Amino acid sequence: MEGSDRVWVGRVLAGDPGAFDVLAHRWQKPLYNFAYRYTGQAEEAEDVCQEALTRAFAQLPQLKDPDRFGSWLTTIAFRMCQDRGRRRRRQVEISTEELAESGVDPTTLALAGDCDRLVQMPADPAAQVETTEIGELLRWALQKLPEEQRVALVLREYQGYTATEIGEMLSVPVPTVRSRIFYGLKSLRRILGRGPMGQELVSP
Amino acid sequence: MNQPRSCADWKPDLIALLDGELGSARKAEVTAHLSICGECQADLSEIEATSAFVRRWDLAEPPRPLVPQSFAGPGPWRAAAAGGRGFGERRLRDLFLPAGLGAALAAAAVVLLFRLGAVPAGGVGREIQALATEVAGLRAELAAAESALAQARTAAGAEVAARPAAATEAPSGVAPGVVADRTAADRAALLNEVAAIIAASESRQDAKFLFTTDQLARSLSMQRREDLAVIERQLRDARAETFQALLSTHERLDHLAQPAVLDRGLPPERELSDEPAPKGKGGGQVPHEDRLEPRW
Repeated sequence: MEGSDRVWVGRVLAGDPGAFDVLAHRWQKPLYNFAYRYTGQAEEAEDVCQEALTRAFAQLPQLKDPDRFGSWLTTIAFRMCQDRGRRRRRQVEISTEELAESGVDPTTLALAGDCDRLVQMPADPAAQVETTEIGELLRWALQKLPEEQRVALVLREYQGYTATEIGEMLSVPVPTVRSRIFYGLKSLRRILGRGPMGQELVSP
Repeated sequence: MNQPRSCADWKPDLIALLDGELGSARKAEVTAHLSICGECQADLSEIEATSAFVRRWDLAEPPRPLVPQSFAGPGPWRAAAAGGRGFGERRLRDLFLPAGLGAALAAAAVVLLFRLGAVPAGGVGREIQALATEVAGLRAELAAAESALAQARTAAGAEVAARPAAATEAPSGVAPGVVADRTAADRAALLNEVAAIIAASESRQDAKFLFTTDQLARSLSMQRREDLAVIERQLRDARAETFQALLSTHERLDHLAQPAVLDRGLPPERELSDEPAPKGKGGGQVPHEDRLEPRW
């Protein structure tokens, strides 16, 4: 569909809600990919996309710069991912307390907090990596990164945003964003390097 | 920048260099540093290669369409939009409800929810929940007080009924008689006298004891009755206070549910009509919007 985001945003604000269909279809794929790479969960990514688009539609009058609809939408999705993560961690903490009261082994509890990642992690990377596609390997590896490094990396490497844009989206100083990207890449290199194909895949 | 920098200070610049976001002067500085720093050279190569590898993960297609067929149609997105600040138009609620009525309806809904047992958490809901708990506590206290009062009355009645009666038994004596056998009679008389003295003494002692016991019992009984009276008074006071608290609580509940109270933020009609009439030409009419009247 022709026309910049600004044009379609303008049409929606002028009272044509159907114009939002163009924006939604234009951005749903990058939005889904952002959410999928950030959360590592396909279903979670779908939910986040739907909610983010719905919220963006409702809050469109608050968008200051219609040319930056995409980064605004991505930021909405990012905040939703963060909220969901916090809720999930809180649920894990609550169930951990309940289990502790019922006398369950604390070791099991410690693993519970990391279960999202453990579930996706190959039990033996050396044995399974041959059948694991790069995407699956990276999905697993990205989840090992701290959140602030992961989101900066995903926004730069997959969404194509510059450090300046990322800084504005996350409300973080640009040097900090660059630092997070640098150390995120270094950490990712170490994580991937531990796998059997790590040296081959990421050696300079 | 002329001050000495550690290698860690250069790391963000390596990203900026890869992204082409450095000015020419800064780029020259970074390049100069790279020419003399093996660690930063290695880091630059490493992150460049890692970045290239990371980008090999292609974009995925969403498993199914993630958006409705059209945002122009009905759906939750429409409701969400209606709830937000919408598209340069006033919200329907603002247009069709006077300012206070919305809040009153909300309060009425909260009260209704409260009565249905589905009190929302937070705000008014929390206050009502606290009041409900207070009322329940008062009711329980009241029931306990009534029960204690009934028990105290029963105990007082039993105490009065069981009070020991004063001993009225006459002292027993030995009647002195004429003894035919003088010696035997004297001896017997003496013994009788002694026995009588002893008996009289015992009788007096008994009487005294009984009297003392009775006095004590009376005294104790009086004390007990007084104590019970005090307890009963206290219980009555407590009941009165509890009743008062219950009444007050109900008043607060009713007060909370009254629309007029919720709307008291609005200035009364009198203040509006007391406004001095604007002077000058064309100033006789106060604009409708400035009157703070509900907009229907």
